[in-house]
Amino acid sequence: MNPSSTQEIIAFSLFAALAVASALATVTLRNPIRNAVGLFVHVLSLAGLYITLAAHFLVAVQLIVYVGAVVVLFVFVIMLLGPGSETAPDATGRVPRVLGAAGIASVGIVLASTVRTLAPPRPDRVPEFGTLRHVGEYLFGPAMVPFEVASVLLTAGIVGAFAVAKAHHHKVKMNTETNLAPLKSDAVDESQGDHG
Amino acid sequence: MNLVLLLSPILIPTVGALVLMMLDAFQKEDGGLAMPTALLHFTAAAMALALWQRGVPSDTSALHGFLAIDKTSLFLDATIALGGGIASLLAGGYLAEHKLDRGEYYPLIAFSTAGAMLLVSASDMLMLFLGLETMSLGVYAMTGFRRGSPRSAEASLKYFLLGSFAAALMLFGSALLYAVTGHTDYAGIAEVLHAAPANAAADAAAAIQVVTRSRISILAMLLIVIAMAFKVGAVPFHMWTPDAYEGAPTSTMAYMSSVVKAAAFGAFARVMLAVYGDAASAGSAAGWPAMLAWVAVATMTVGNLVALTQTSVKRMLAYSSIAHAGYVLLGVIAAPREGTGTTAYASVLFYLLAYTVSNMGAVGALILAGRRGAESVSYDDLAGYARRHPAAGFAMTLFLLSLTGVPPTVGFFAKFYVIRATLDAGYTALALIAVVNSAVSAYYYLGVLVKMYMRDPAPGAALASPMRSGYVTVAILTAAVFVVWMGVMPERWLDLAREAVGAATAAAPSAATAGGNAAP
Repeated sequence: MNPSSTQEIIAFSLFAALAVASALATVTLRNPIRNAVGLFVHVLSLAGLYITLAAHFLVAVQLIVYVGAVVVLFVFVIMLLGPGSETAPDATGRVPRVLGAAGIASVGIVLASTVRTLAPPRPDRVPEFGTLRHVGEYLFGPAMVPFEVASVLLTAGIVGAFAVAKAHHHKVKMNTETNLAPLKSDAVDESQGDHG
Repeated sequence: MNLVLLLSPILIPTVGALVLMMLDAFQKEDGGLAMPTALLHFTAAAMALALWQRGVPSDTSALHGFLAIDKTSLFLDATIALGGGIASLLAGGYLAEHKLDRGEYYPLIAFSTAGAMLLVSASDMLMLFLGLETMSLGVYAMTGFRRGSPRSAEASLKYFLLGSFAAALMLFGSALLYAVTGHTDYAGIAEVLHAAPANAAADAAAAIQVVTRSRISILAMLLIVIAMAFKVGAVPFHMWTPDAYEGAPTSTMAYMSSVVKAAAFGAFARVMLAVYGDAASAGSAAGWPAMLAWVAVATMTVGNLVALTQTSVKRMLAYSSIAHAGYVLLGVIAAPREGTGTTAYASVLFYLLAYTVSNMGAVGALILAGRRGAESVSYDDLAGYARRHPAAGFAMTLFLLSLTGVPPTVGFFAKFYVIRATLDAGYTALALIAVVNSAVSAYYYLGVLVKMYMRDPAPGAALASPMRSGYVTVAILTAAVFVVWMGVMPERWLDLAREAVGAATAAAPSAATAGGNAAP
């Protein structure tokens, strides 16, 4: 194991504690805006953890994509739906709760009992580790196949989202006569063919 | 060999999906994309067969261990592409008849097919995840394709949430495996996990490492098994299946229940055998086969018993697909066994192909029985149907008999091979349960036949009559050809499946390149 400096340990502990606390806040608080803020703090502290791992490019991507885009999108959606709406109290029965808690506890116990003795095999540390160049060479070199497949995945996601959400486009078009959506006018058949 | 050629079964649907999107954007009228989509799929299947004929190269180092293109994956690719092609034809008929024919459906099918092929070719946890998600995203959207129908939206959302949850579990499992082994490729993980501990007894630290590693790897295995059980719809992770199948457009249901299931099972068997195929993890006493045996029993029994009580044919087919997942699991359980395992694995591949064509046909026959505004979904809708329309009724009969497992249809041999493999592996009780379950399933499949041939429709009820669609007819004929062909000469097809599996075991070590080992 590499000897870690005191600063590193302090930084890691700080960000790790923050990450866990904010993750808990994200899933337990009732107010959606607070959940979003919890998520915001969580992705920020993850970026902090990446700094301690010397993965600088990843830090930048994390900040741009998650902090800059994903969380902001969440906040937009919550604002559109109305920020004041609190979720109704959880109506989950006792049995699922107990089972769920038992499941989480058993995973936690296994991990807690093993993580102290775990000595992960470390890939050889190269000097340019975590730099844009290094990541780029890996992504467009050996990891080209998964990199390209990820773009297929995203395209499929976009087409899928469009297919499911296109209905709303039509309604906008019909109600306001704006010509935002240059789409085929099959909206007329919307209500039909639905006897499943 | 040229990389493009090697990946062509996967590239054809991927690039084809983009072309289909362009076609859709530039054509004035909706519809008409079913035939190009089907041709795309059949070309991909033909390409897989051509690669098979030509021989799979042993040197696939250009893929860096992320994908394993071998005969196993080519066999499954061909199965998936065939299923996807039939599903696109069914969609061409169904969507047009029910005024759902919007162009996005066809690129989505093609993307899902590409994802399914990636899934079965994956030899790295990263690719497994990417393939799974690419396949699933398309299917989620196709499930919610009936816009304005709360049921379809509910089905889609349920499937999406549970599917994402399952994917997250699998990601967690993969992360744990990476933590203990430093590898994401199957071969690398297996190598580290099953490395003989050097002087473990003497070296206390090494001994602790071995214990730690095995504990975390078991936890990871549980997470991966749960995720895959979700995807194949095995009990107790089947809750989404009936709702998602029923709410989805029927052509999507055909795709979900056949292609998605075949791909998930193919990847499941592959990852379990590659990563946990060693004697300690796959031993019959305490390893994963014993655990999966309980899952299989529960899956077959619950699927069949609940299917008995259904009044909707669509829902019955959903539960029957759960039951069939149980039968396939039998083959997966027997697959790691030394000696007889290869035949068991081959029987899984055979079953997946057989189930794909039989189920596609059955759902296709159900689609055929419904017209615009009068979709046939319940048993009562079909009363007297076969007497009024003998040809359409016969099609339904053929596929239902195949699902039941009546010779000379392929369904019989599929079940026969799987159960024989189970017996050979020494799981007599499991085989008996499967036989009893198969007998139970006859009741509800034959119930449809009784309705179609022997019952009169209730007075005043709408009479089901077949829709007219060349697409659906071609789809049903294609499925019927395979059901009969594979049923008449099953040994030949089983030999093909055996060849597929045999090649996989021989080519496995070559996949172990330094590829996706360590992230930068």
